[in-house]
Amino acid sequence: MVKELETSHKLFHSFCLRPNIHFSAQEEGEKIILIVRSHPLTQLSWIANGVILFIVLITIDFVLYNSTTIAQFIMINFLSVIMILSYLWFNFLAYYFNVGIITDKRVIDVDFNSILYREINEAQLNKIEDVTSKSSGYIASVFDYGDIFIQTAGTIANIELIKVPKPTQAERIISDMMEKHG
Amino acid sequence: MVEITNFLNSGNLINIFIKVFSITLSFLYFIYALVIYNQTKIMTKTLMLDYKNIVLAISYFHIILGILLILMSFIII
Repeated sequence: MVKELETSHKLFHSFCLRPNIHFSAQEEGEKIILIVRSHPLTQLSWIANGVILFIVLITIDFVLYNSTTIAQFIMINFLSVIMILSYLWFNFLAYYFNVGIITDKRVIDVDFNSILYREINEAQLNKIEDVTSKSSGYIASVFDYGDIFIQTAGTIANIELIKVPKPTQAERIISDMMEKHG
Repeated sequence: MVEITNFLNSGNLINIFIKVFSITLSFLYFIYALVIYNQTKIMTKTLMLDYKNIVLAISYFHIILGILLILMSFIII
């Protein structure tokens, strides 16, 4: 099945098969089979927050317009707009760079959860004991996203890929790769 | 006492408050932008993308905006 996979980038690059991307710890000859990110639908909360903040700012502007000078009005708006844009940018970065990478040798989970926090877990395919996928809730079922749990042998940390699209297909790909590695 | 009352009524207090508030937030934003830029550099090193330069440029743009904010908060208001 893995051999049949062709390069594709689905759901706003949240499910990329054989992507033309490299990562820092990539070994010589190691090929990326799949890169997964959280489903775009799960990112709606911060996008909605950004929109709400813009609406709040416009509402506050009606009050501020008559009670501040033009310079103060411009400064307050400039400051607020930049902060909202920066909030949106940071959340986008956190979304885009939190990835699960499945290569032909291992599975890697890269997490950038907050500012200056980086966690990278990896498991060699021959050290993986069990792979399970879970999709719970109406929205997750309708839009086909869920969690993938990769249980590893010994003291190696287990890997969790949270709210990724097509969890069953991803699980199948990992299982196929595991079989290939005995 | 009269001078204080006049000062409060003149609106200068609000002006000072807005100025101090703007300067403080601008500096905090500038530091935040620097941290984000460094974080973006780490991110793009970890996952190498074709459009790495665009991502870095946007983060760098935030630093420029931070400097612009500091200048504005000192000069304009």
